Amino acid sequence: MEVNNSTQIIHVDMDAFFASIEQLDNPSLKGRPVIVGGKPGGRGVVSAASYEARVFGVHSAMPLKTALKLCPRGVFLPVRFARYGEISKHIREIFHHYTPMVEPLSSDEAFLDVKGSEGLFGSAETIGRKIKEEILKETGLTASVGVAPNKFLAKLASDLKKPDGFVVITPDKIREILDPLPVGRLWGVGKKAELRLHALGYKTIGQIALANPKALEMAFGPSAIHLWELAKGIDSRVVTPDRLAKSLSADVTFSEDIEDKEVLGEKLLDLVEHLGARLRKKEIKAGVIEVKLRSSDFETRSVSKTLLEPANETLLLWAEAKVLLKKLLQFDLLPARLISVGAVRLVRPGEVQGGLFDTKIIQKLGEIDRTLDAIKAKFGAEAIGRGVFLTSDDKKSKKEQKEH
Amino acid sequence: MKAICNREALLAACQVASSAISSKDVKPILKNFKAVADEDHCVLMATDLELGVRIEIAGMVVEKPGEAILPASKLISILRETRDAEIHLEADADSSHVAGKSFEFEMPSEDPANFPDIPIFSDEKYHEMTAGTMRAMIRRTVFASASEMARYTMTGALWELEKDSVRLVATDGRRLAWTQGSASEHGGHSVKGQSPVVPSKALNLLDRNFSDDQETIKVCFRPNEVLFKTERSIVYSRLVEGRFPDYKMVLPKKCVSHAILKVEPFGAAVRQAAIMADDEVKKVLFKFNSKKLVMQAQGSISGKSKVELAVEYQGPDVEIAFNPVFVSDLLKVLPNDSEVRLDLIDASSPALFKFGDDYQYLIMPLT
Repeated sequence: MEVNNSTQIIHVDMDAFFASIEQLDNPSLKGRPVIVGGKPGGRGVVSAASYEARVFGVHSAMPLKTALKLCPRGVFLPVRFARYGEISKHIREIFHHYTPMVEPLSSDEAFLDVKGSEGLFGSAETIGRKIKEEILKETGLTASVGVAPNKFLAKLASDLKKPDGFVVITPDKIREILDPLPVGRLWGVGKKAELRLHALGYKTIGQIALANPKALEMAFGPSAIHLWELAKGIDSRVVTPDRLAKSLSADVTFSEDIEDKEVLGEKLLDLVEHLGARLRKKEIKAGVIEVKLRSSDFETRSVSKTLLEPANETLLLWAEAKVLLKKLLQFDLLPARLISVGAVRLVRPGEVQGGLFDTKIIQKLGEIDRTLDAIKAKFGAEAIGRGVFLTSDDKKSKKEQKEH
Repeated sequence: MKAICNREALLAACQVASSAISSKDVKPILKNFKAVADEDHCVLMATDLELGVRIEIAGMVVEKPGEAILPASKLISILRETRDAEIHLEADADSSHVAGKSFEFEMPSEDPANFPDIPIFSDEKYHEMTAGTMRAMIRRTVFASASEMARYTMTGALWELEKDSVRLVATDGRRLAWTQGSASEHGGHSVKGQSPVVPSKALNLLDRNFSDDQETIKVCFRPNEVLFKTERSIVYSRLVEGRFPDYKMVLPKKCVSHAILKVEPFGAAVRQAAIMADDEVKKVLFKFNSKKLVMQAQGSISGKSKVELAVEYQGPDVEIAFNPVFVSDLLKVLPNDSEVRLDLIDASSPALFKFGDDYQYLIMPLT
């Protein structure tokens, strides 16, 4: 594989996006620890924390209860997705001014490939600076921007001087920047993998880059080659604009490997719900659904199923996803370190084949989803759950438990 | 049994009957034909238990009446790989022999008594129609039926019988074909109270089985099964179980605009526009205005197409998107030099093609 020597990938990452918007909309919050996610000590998790709150150790995905303990004087606010969406859209318009090659990763993060735009707007570094300035001027928010030859390095660069950072990694600086970084900074290396790498004697990215990839693979498993490439600064993934995206997926790498099948099912359900909401937001339907499971020793398997009709209703996606998970559990993949669900063969608005005998049930499911999405957008993801996910089996087992 | 057969006639009969041979492993004996010969004629049978056929083999000289079990695919291969006009067939419960001038095959056999029985047509209540009418009706509908098992109740055509006519309706849930033709009722045959759906597989077998358009076809519905009698064969089929959707509900009663389309140029333009449509998401946008029809497709990576066609159109301008395959499927079964009328309501309502009074085809648009 060749190292791409042209520096053309930009990664833009908004700084504490949700919390910054709250501070922007209510200037009295500036300089105060803002925690977005819900009521202090509520059952939800932190969606975003301002840098002032991070000083106390508060971070996103942390239970609100923990956040309250760490930062009792924090300003706890509900999530306002509609407002964040507005600003996110505005920022995306800024990106699209420079290139159509924009791959949003979430509402506050995107990759841009500016190859071909350089003649018009200047070098990737110039474009990166312009974008950063425009975002600040037009929204009042700061972004951290990384410019590099590939996605991995660009993302790493945007993170190096966060917040309000701007880092360019040119090919001649790759080693100087990567070598001293801890292995945990490699994409895909979680806590567990980090410990294993430490145990094998690898503490820094530079040490991995110097390793013999074959030997590393023997010791660490098949994903070692990928890690070694990243450590060498090689990443061949291309920027895929949303419009051309062939699939959409949601995954989670567990902080601790999961052995329990039911817990795994719950994790999958969360992902399906999340994926469904993303599909619905984009008004996209999935023609095929795919579930992937990775074991603690990095064996990965995926299974997929074509839906009878393209769908984005959580209940319909879940009905297939749970069958696929059952299929995956026939293989020896536990304990699992990662699970993901993907929507493949996407059907966009205007491409949906209508049905002559469409049942009211599907319309109803769509309405339920829209209502739940709206409630969640207003009150946060934890505000409401689905009673229907108690399948008849679950109900039976609960009942049996009661009776016994 | 022992007989001398005309190779071509035997091969033709085998090919029709082979449609009833199951591709799945149901029962080993069902991978075979059963031949039954008496003094002056010989019948070949095949069944997968859902569908069964008895077909008369023309040009047989029976030397010794009897029954035989013949491995279907091997027999067809043998007959295909020779040019001999005459084939000698001899079989008992242990083995079957097939021989020509320069070859001889011996194959293990089975007891013919183990072969499941296929009903014969002895009913006195039936509807009668010409093969030409029936073939046209089958060809106009069956393509619109569903093939996925998940839409099992739509995997055939609904039959509605009147005293002097018969209607066939097929749908896959996205498009629907409706056609009618003349027929005559005998002995008070009726399907009142039931909505029989004949599997597409049986109808396709029939379509291949008619010798000429003037041939008379008898059809008799019994509870859960149907029998067709052509001049030289009987086709038996179990009916599709379950409820066929209420199609009358979705046939539009009126329209807002309509176009008159010449089949040949319209078909060519649709195919042309569809070149750029994606394989995964097949979509062509049809823009109608008073002067012309503009068809556009855009692939995610392949590019764009725009094709114009002068058409007769009355009503407000409309843009409606269809799966071009659904449109082409209809045009394939219409005569090239004819015209078809298209009734539209709006971009999200079903569009109705009308060909004379006897054929309607409804397509749900992409939205």
